Amino acid sequence: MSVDTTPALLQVEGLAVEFATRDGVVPAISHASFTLRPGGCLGLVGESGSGKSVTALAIMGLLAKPAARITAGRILLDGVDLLALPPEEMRALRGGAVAMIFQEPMSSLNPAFTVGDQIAEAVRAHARVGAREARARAIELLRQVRIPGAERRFDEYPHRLSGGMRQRVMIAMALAGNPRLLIADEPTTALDVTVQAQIVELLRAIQAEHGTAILLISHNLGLVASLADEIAVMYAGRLVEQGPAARILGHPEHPYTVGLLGAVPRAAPGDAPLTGIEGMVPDLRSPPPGCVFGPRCPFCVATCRAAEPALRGMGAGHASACLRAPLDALA
Amino acid sequence: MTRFLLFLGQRLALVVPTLLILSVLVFGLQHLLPGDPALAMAGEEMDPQAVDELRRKYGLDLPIPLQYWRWLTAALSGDLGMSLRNDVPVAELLMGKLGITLQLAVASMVIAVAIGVPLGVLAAARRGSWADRIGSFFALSGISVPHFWLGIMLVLAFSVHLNWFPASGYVPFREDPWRSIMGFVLPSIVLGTGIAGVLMRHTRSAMLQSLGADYVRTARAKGLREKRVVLRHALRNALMPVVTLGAIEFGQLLSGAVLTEQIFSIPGFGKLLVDGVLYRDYAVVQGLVLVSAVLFIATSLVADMLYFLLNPRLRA
Repeated sequence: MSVDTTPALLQVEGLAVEFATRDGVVPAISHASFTLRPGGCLGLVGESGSGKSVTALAIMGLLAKPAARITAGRILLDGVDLLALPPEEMRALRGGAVAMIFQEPMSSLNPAFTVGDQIAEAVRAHARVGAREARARAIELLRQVRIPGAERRFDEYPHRLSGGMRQRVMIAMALAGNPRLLIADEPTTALDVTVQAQIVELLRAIQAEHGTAILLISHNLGLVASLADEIAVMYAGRLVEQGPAARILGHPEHPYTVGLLGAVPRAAPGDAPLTGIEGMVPDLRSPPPGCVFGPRCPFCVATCRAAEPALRGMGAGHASACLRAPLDALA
Repeated sequence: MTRFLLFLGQRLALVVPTLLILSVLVFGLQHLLPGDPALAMAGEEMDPQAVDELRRKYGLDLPIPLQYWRWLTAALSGDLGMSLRNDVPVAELLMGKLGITLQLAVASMVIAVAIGVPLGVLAAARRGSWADRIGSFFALSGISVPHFWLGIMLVLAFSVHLNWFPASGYVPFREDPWRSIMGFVLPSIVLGTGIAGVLMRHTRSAMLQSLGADYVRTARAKGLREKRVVLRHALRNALMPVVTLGAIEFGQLLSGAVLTEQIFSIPGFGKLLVDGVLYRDYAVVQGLVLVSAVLFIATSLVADMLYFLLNPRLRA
């Protein structure tokens, strides 16, 4: 999608994931494609259940088997298809070239081990180093994520740390394998607002200092706006709009994105009132005919219900899966 | 360390009232049982004078609260009274049997842990697989097969037919260590498999819970091998409830295995209890119940300490 011609670091092509549930097979992701350039930041945006986290877990090779099944697509990292890698090579990649941090720093650390122990373990999972060296490296990582008194914190158990500190520990652990891609799944959602800003600042610094590309997954457009240079919007397991962040935020060309932007609270007084999106996310087992957003869309017409619209270029690397785009003419 | 001592102190403070209540129950229960020990001792003739004399001799004619007080103060100084039947101090009798019961309990527990915990881990790690199904079947069998039946079957197979282990009898360890150990194999299997089943089921469910935890996902995300994820990250957390359960099971073993000891003619607490009840040997039964209960409380205390050491959240 990007006009940038550097080869992509991450390239997801036509990814489709199904979940076997008690009520039958649910297609969680239908043919999602996007790319992330080295050192860039792609924001993957959407409501809960839109398939963002499933996408992340698919890249990590951590989808819960046998319930989840990848039925189509490729996930290329530096041109190598991760889905075709033998399990042992994929394991070496996890926490190595590709690392991930999660939404819940409270429960994502093992309560039975010290934070230093857990970081050192990640170091040793990807480098042949002794215990002492791993410890030194772990302390250095704790410093890198700006945890004060790193040496002392090494022997601390997770329950002694605040949520923000724990997320820093998670980030330190993710950095242990010098990742080229960091997947951050709702990294600030569970944190206080002031702490959120610090974590965002930290992620930005890591991206700048190490050239780590970030796949930022969030429902929070404010967070995405502050970090991402590209945005992909997901709805009901489909990518409905993608392009440069400034374009998507300033000039959305999919009614769903417009709706999401309307639901972002702003602090400044006198702004437009908050608007929600009418209706509910569709049941993925029996999606509505045509455009999946159709039933909730203010611009939906008969042709929208005829066939599912594909992503269409809107210029400047911007693409929308809305038949009625550009929307300017409709408003 | 100070936190550990504080924790220990708190637990010990709870032990005192528990023991006191227990002593009342132990003493009281005896008096709720029908039958008169003096009558039992006096025998068939039942000379009323002889019976009265016996009552006086053992303080059975005193008011019950006074009997309790005498019993309690004596028990605290290690005097659990005299066995009415054998005419030896109960404490001495119990000390003689304690080693046997302890030996049986430890051997059974070793078997239970060695089978139950690994099977539980395997079943959880390979949920829904054949290993899981076979493990669950084994656990259910271990729990539901009656001890007397399993004991008899084992004797038939391994003593009568194969002649690998003695069918019954107890040989003191000091006399012949090898024969002593061999004598404990079958009864330990009988007791151990039942507990192994309980441990397996609890290990499995605790493991399933911790394998689904976020920190296990983190462990996988950092590229650890599955073996390490299961045996270090999941098991460490799953062990906490299992340790507590294991301690309770061990505590129960210490109160004597009545049926198993009977089948294999092992003269432990279980046999002593049966004889004590049959002959209305009040002091023996009281002493036995009291000592078993104290051992049980001590085991729980050790379990609490282990739990404390396993769980860093309690330490800080």
